[in-house]
Amino acid sequence: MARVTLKNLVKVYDGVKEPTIRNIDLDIKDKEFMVLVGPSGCGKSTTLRMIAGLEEITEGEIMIGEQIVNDLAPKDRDIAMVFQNYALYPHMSVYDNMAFALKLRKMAKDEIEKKVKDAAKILSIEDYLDRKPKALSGGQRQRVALGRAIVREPKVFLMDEPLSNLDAKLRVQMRAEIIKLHRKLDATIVYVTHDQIEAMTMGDRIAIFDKGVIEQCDTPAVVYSKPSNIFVASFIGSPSMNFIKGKFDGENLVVSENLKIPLLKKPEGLSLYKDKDVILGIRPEHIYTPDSSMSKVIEYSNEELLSVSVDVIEPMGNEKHCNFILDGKFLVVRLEPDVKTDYNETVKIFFNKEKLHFFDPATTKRI
Amino acid sequence: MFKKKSNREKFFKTIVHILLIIGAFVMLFPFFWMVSTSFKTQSEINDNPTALFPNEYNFNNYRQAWKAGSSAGFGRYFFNTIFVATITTMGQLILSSLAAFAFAFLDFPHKERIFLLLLGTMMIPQQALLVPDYIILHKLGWLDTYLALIVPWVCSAFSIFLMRQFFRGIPKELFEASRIDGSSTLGFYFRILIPLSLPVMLTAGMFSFLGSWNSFIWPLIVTSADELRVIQVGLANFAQAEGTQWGLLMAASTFCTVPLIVGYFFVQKKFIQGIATSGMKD
Repeated sequence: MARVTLKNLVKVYDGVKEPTIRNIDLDIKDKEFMVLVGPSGCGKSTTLRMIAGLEEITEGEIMIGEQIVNDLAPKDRDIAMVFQNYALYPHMSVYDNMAFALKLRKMAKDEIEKKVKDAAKILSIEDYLDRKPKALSGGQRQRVALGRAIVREPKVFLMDEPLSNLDAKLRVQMRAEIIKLHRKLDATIVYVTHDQIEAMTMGDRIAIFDKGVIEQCDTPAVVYSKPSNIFVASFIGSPSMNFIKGKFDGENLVVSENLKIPLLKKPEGLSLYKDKDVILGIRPEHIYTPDSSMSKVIEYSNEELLSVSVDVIEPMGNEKHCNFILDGKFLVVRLEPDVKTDYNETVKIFFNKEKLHFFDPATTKRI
Repeated sequence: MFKKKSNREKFFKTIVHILLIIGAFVMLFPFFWMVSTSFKTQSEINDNPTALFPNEYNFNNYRQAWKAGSSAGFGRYFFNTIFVATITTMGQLILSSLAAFAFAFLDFPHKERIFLLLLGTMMIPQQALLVPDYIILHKLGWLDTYLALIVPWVCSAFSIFLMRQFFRGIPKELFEASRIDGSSTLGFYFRILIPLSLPVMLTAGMFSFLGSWNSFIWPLIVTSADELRVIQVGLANFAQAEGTQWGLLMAASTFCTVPLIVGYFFVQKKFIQGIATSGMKD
């Protein structure tokens, strides 16, 4: 097991002007489950492939443990990788797939057998060892791919969207299994995904990528509660955060002539923005109506109530997602299913004043 | 409505099958005629040239033709052809698959351009190359040797193209996974790529073997010694010498074609699969 350090990492592909990765710094601690997440094309997979040694490094340094691995071949980096499409060797049995790397390392036969059987037991694929990958379901194939990585006992596990080929139900199940596996193996894992739910549920820390840079790297709780800029705020959380632009007059956010949102709790930095534009961010789950159960917990005054009209209501069973219109703009709100909302009726809502986020419209950074 | 449609489909299917049967008949009749004539005696052929079947099956023509083939005989021609075709095919499979592997999996400067150049060579007609190739072999001193029959054919742009297309259907992740697992580049080629590519290897091998078996002009101009003659050249010589002995000629033609047809039957299924598959079904 080892830590992985990326220093000032740059990747420029031949014939492409813009760098794919721009000066990334990232320190992945020993035994940490680090998730790299971001929209497609953000550079997360490229970063992982550079750690694996499958892509050349244009500039910068990658260290695994105490060793700089820039010029080491993938096989000498002591890593194992799990691919999105499993990448199992189709002509080999499950056993041979898992034993392949060990055979290449000239390990003794009985030792190989023990390791493969142990890994198969952890993943409950003991019954399929003689089968070819063709005869396995997607979930079983993914287990074999994990098994192939486990038997190696590598310093670092690299996983490139390993669950995205599975159906929704299986994905949730495998997600839990990988979390358990991480605890059991006590291994350093670098996990790439575009799915923010996977990122939030699995990662010890999350690095959010956009356009080749890391926008924020922190624990899921911090990333959720203190997003460092508008991109992170909108990427993490589903449905995404609402943003309202207005002028800060010292007490209120003046959105238009008709709409003033009173700001009763303000971060310190906001005073610098007096008479300037700011963007207010509020998550759908932090907006309530006087009928919400949270209205009994959170104090609010009549002054804080805002009138909205109903556009669309999406009942989810356990909750409902409401698209309200506030002063001509959409506002997504998550409400309990039994809170009254009717089409063609005005609804009163209020914001949880502890959960307001403020961003600078020019830099998009958190205030 | 439904019934009408199925009737129409039936009608079209019948038409297609009738056309196919006519086509097959046109293709197969010369072969049938060749085999049938090979069993007839010369007098039988003269008396009734259009008889479909021989009066009795006599193998004399075969015996005579096998021995008659001027000095070296068909035994020698067969040996030469099989020897040359086998070495050529093996060479082609090894060299072409290595080249195709590089084109499909490795990165090197100007890869696409080099590949296009290679494809371009397929557009040069063989006739245009006969003279320059002959001169090169002459300068190398290879004329009238097995080298002249083999070396120019051990690599083929077509096989490279065929294999590269097949290899491109094999996920690149397999290559990457094997590199991480500790396999070398050649290790991947031998342990993973080749076992997965048997259909295309068989197809390319068959093309190469057939081409070598049927080649005529090239062996004719680069060899003159009788011991180096291959089957097609031997057969042509035989036809010249025994031109009016139809029975003998047809017997010789039959034993020159039958081995290939039999061989094709055995690998037919894989052969078609090799041409048809562009990718991997997992």
